[in-house]
Amino acid sequence: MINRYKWYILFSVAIISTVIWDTQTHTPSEARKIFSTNTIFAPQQRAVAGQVLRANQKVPAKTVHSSSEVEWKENLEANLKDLTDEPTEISIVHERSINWNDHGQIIPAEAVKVTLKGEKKSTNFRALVDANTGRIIQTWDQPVHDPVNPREGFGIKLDPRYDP
Amino acid sequence: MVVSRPWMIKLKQSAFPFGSLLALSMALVFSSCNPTEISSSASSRNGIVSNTNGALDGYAYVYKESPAIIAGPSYSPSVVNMANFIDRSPVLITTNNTLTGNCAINFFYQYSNYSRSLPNCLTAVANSDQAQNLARNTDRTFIFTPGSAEFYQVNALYHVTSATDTFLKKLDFAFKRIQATSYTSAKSVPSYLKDSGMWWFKGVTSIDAQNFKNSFLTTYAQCNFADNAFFNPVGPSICMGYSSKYPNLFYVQDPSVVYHEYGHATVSIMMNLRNADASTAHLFRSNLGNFGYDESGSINEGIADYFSFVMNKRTHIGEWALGSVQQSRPMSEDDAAHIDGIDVTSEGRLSYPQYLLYDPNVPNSPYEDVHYAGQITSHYLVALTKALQNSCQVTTEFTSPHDQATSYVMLVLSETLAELGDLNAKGVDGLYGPFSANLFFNNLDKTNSFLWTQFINPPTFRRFYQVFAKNINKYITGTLYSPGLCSSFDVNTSEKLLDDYGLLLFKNYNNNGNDTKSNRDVATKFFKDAVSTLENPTLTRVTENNRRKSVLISKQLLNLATKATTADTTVSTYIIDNRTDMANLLSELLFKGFPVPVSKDAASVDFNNGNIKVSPGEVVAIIPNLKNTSNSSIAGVEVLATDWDHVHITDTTTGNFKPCVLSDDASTTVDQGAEAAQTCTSTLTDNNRLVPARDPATNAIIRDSAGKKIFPSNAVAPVCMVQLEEGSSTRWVSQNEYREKKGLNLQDKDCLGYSSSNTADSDFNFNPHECLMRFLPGANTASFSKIDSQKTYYETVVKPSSTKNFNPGNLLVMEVNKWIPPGTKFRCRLRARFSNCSDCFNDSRYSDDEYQDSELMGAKPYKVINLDLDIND
Repeated sequence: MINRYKWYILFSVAIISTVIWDTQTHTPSEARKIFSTNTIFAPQQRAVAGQVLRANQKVPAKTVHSSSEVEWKENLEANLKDLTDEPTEISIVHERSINWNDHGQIIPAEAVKVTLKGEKKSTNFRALVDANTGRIIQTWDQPVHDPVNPREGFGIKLDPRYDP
Repeated sequence: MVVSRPWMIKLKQSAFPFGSLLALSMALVFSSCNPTEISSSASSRNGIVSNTNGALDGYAYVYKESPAIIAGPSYSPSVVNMANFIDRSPVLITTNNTLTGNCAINFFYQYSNYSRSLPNCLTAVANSDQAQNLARNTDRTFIFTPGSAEFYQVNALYHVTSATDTFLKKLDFAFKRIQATSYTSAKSVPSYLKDSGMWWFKGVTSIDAQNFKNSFLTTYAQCNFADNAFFNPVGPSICMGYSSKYPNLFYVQDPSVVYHEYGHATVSIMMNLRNADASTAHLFRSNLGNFGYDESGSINEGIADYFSFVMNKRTHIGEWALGSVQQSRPMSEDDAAHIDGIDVTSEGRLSYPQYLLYDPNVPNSPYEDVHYAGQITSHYLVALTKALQNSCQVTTEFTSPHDQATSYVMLVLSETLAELGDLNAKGVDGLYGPFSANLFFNNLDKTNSFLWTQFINPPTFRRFYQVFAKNINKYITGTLYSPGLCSSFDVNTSEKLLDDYGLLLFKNYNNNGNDTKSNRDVATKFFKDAVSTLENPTLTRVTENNRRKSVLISKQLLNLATKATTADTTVSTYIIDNRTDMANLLSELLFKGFPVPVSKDAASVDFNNGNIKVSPGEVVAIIPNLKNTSNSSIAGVEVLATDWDHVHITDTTTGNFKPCVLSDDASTTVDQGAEAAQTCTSTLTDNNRLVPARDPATNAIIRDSAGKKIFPSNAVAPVCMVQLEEGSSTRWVSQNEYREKKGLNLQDKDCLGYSSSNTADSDFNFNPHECLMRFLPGANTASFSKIDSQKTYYETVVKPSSTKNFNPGNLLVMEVNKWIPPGTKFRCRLRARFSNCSDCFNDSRYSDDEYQDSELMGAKPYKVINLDLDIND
């Protein structure tokens, strides 16, 4: 009997394990680490917030590691929607929370994967987002497109009033 | 087990329902397509495949070339029957039970083998809607009806697995050979690659859950994109789209295009070989290329084309998929697709910059695009491969001379891209891993490396080929470390071949190992200061007699166009400010993955009035109308509107400044508005922004004893200054000073770039010196492929093109505060340099050594361009 269902059982265990592991790694209140060199450290090497932020420091409450995921996500989504008139479905998958060293300034930040689905276009990329404002600090991992006819790509014509 | 496939029986009965008679006869001649002729130990009887003894477990029939190759160019994509093109011998697709492939590589390091494997590193599905991997048939084969969704998935996995096996074998060779080079030699492919996992998309095991969630590369065999195929590093995935013109044409039917997309994946891997070690990884990954046209992107396309040649030995790509719209591309000058005058002689090579806009399919219609410009790289790499094939002694280590020569080229490519994409900015390593000294030899430093490698100092034709040529000298010719892989291909031969392609754009090989930011006037640091066992090589110079076709031009011959007469309609700057164009541009950039952060409230495209002037509140695109006054083409022009070191900060409590007179630059003299006695010689080594200093430990803004903020005394400043009238005199001041002295009553929250929704919050990004006008991050650099002699960019590229369009890579995007009074005058100090520049890269004070990375924050490598903008009502 067990033999008969062993693959089913193994598969189920694998699915459940994946879900549990996934949930654990996406905990939004995960402690941040200041990235003095902007390097990812293995999770076990992360310092908790208290080790890098003084108790009496004058910084906005939101810079402490418990920023509201809902707020920055909403702001980010709004910021992205502002950039297009096309109805766009936006998916933001949180990948990790960090403190980002931006030229000596420490910015609480969220690394996310962004997926956009418009009526005719779609894309995805990674972004580092200011956890206070939803502002995008940096994007990377953009797709490399190969249209069959490059001449049909996006372009802007010069205004005829220039008459060059 | 005996399994029959209806399509097999149909073929056996010769009931061909497809194609024209010509195509049919060609298919029969060329394809050897009858899948019932099984050459394995399994049996076939009456068109029925039998996998009785398990010999076909995991096997399938595949097409090894596209219909255009097997049946010839006249085979019409209108009606496609892939059954005609499948090879008669079944091939092993995978030993796994589902349609996934495995990766394995062997690292030979210090007399030991380190085998690494990644099960299920490859997968192929129809599209993103398919959640499950395809399972084997009940007969344990992967044989599916030709033309079915399952059939294409199987074929996609077959070709991607072949590509992976080839790539990893070549990376294995590169690693072994590079690590075997003298221990005194600086190497870019790191020894800890065997531990970091960066030979694939997996990364360090402990952070897989975060940064490399999918360790497998997915190929979407029939993804839902019309007229497009792409590599997506986020997946990571390869999307093989379909033709909107021919419903039966899927790009997966063309293996050369699958290899091209996979080539982009190999570039992504090679660019990031140094971006993790055994325990840490950089947050970002390097890209080769941005949006629109840029030289990095064209090099990426050229390498991707070349990878197709590596796989199939053919010097042409996309005969089927791209050929359907007359857009296939050659990779060798002896291809019949080329126009007269292009041949394999030194004079006839596809040289830079002459052929940057060349489309062999429509040669009379030049067009600026990374794929066309990429042909220069693909042709050079193929020519180099053939030269190595002809020069080098054949060794038994390889399966063929092609395998050997392409392995050598891929070694040089991996070492080159590893260096260029290094985000840890170390550039070299200690004996067993990264060194600990606080020194950097590449891409400025860890904090700024992404900015440097993507925007400030990206791999242009000059930068890429300088590093590439250095690595040829290092590993192929044996000039630096004997024996080389192919000493009969010597430095002179290498330089001459580069010059045939117009790519000998550098005066030296930048191989002397000085660091990125030590002040040279005080004490330069070298490799040996970081790692005692490394040598400090002597700077190797190019033999000038080898430079015949590669023309270098002074930066002083690049200027903004000006009116010749009062009746002349020439303008110095094109302004695009109509709402539709700008809204479309922002949307396009967003869907390319480059969202441009327009300020909330202070500016919006809704203010755009389309009067081709700059008005309050607008978001506008700026195109400097650059003119080449030399007698040769200028190419690879980069214009930067990023912050740089051009001001003398006079008040550290406000950050207010005076514009510097920058020595030897006519645009920054007192006559041009710079302040007398404010001559700045930049010694800035850190890319400090002109914003209030914060305590890195506490994140709090640092204040002096009077409670005032403290700005740095030396920092990079925004490019745009504003004219302040004081009595009868005027001067250029910081935007922060202007808003205070003009009594504009603008609070920080009313400024551009102030992104906090709650004004009680400290804004971490806000720079008060760009309160009124600023170039938007991410769209503050522009690229221009080339400008012909005595012409402007518009006259060279845009006007002769079929579309007469500017592409997004040409545009600098700025926003203007809605509270600015009309009549306000701005001067933005842009900087420009180009790939074939004679005086943009070498410091004459130091024997023409290369400028350090930190000097790219200053004026010396650039032509400073004053962009004057008046605010219109």
